[in-house]
Amino acid sequence: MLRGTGLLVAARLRRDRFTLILWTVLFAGLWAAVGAGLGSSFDAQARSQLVALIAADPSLRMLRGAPAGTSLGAVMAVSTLAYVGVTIALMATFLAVRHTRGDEDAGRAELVRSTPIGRLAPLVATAIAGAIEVAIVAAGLAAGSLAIGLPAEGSALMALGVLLTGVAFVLVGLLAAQVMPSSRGANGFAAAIAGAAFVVRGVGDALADAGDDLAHVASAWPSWLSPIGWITQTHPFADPSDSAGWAPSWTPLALFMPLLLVLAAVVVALESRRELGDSLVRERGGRARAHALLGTPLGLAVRLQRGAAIGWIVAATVVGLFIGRVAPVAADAFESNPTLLALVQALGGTADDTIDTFVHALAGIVALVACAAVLQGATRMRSEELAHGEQVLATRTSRLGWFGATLAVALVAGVLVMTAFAAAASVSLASSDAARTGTVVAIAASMLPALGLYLAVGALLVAVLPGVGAWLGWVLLVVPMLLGELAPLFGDDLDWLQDVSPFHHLANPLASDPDWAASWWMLGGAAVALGVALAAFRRRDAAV
Amino acid sequence: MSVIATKALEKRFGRSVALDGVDLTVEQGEIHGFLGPNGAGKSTTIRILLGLLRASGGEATVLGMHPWRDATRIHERLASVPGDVTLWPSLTGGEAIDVLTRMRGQRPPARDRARLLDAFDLDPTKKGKAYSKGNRQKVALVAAFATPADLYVLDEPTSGLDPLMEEAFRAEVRRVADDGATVLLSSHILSEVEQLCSRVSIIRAGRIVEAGSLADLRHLSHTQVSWEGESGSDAGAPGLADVATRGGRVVGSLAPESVPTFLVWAAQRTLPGLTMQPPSLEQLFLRHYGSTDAAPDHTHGRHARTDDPER
Repeated sequence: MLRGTGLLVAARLRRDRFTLILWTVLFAGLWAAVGAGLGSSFDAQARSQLVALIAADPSLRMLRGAPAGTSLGAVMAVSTLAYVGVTIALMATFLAVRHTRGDEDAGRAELVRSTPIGRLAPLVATAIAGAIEVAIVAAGLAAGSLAIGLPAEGSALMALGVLLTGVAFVLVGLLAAQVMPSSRGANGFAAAIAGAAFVVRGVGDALADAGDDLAHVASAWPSWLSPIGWITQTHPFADPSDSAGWAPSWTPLALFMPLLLVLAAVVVALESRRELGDSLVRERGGRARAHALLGTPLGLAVRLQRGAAIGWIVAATVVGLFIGRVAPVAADAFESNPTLLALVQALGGTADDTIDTFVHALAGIVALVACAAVLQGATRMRSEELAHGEQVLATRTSRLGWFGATLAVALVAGVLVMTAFAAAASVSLASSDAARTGTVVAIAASMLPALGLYLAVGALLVAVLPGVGAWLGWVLLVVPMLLGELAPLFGDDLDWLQDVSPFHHLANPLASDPDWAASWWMLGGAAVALGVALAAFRRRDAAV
Repeated sequence: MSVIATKALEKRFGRSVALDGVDLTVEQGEIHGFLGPNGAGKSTTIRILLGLLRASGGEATVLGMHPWRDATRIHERLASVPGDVTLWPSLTGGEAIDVLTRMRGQRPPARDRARLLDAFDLDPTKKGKAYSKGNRQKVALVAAFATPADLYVLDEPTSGLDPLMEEAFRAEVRRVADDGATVLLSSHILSEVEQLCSRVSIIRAGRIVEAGSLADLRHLSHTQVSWEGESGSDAGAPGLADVATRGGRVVGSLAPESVPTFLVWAAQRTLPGLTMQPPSLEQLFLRHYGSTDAAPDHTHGRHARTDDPER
């Protein structure tokens, strides 16, 4: 059953070696950078203010976590550990799907299976290689943590939590690969589970009772349903000597044991009876004739992009509904605490109305999602061209028509994401007696230039750099966002890093005198870049 | 006027030369075979004719128009099948057929479509991912033949088809040709070309090395002769070349002009089991690509691409 496993493990590690280095450097480097920045620019008092802010605000707890102390490590944990958890989960699921369903889709698995290797060898080899890679990343994280002088026990505890989460999600990825009929479907399914683990943890932290301490918040029960919650519940950098007496705890990690055993048993049982290429969810048949609208480039683009777009729109709607429930609660917490109110305004709150500030903060996150939707839709043109260019471009469909239709649908999908958010937030705020539709719409609209910018980025990638993968687009989306988000933690010298993020330049309609110039420049620049991309796409050889 | 005409067509990818002066002429109403081994430049030529690639040099017209500038106007009158068909994973075969024919600006009568689905034995309700290579090819073939067109450009269209389906394919090619359409058929399946095509062009390392009607090409080539006998029984045979003895038979070849004198010589003696075969396309082909000169011809300064320009 397992013959050849060692060989396949080696092959997988070799195939992943560059991405593995990248992931390790990313985790360890970002963790150490955040720590160094926080350590140098936040003294103990500033840290307790920051923690108090998070403790008091359910929406921040949702996005960050429930605080467990004000030590440097504890502040880092509350602001980034949940993100570390969801990122390792995504890395693990993509890894597992790539080596299983991905290989089956590409036909490589058939070649491998025709050699005398065991039936379970590809699956087990993927699990082992995944565990090794996750362990390397976790070790890098621990090393980064020790390097900035965090306690050894907490560093080890956090690394073990990250390792176990990674292994759990390798198994989730393997399960998804057997459930879904394509690697695209399996990645979506597994990523949705990782996202759900993050959100369930967030709901538990948001529902927690903030208490009086404003440095320690005990999460509500939903956090205990999520593996990402189990990492944060270890409180790796809690300091037993402070008033609440919380200590790092290894026990939450025991919950991984039953989870890993059940997942492993299910995955092995399924694989033992599964035929090559088979899946639990079967590809169903469909219509023999195409719908009347499916005969133009626009109709085709709508059909091809609608599945992904619906996913993004549902996510934005959920966030919008959430804000309506949570923002008024948070506002109450602030308004009953004048010290906190002063704090949030000192930390850059431009509005007098705290609900508006929450809406703006969450709209920024949704705008990031919308930009991701736009970028995904635009760069989809690249794989379309490779796979179908030879057929589509030999019809009377012009290049401009094809590319233009794809870009238009991508942009509309992004705008619909913002619209769904604005509508859901408006409705749910109104039902919480905090109606402010005009403001919500203005905030959502103020984000639109960023969508145009990333549409242009995706279009230029397709038209000018067709040999470079879509990954460059994701780097251009995520890295400036991360730098912009983290820049305040790095200290005053590095404030310019904020300017790297396009979101930082967007006009804030909550300001007393919003400066729209940068937004207009962004839109204009995007329009010019789009024109350049369309012209380049028309002139170059088709990538077929 | 020629339906397709290229003159000294060139295509370079970076430093490698894929086409090195292709002169290809396809006349109105003919089924033109376009022969060549992998990597010779068949697909590159076709992609230039379809306006997917831009020529680096030389001239080309398709239906009297410029393949790059007038691409969409040409495509209104043309149907094509690529050698490697990729379907949309989320669309059924039937939907893909409709998308492609509608994008060509056509709404073929339902009975034509049904007849083709039947002829190619294709289930149109399966999702793109579920089709085998041959069935993906059939989807593209149905989409092309359901489209009334003046020109059909078929790039190795039968790869992956079983023999029954190849027969259905030949029937469709003859049908559209009888209706007056022109067909450019790239292939390396010689029997297919031999059965269908009136004229052929042979490309090698980015150049057309032979072009003409099959009859012309046969005329240029050598007739194969063999009879039962020992070596030496060919002594004095006029014009007989490449003589060898294999399995108790003497084999040799004759240039076209030597055939009459050889026949006179043969009539004067007993040559048991004498056979004379006209040259097959295969021999024509092997003459140009025989094992001795199959390697790219660097001595003439030409560079075949080391990677595969077919893809």
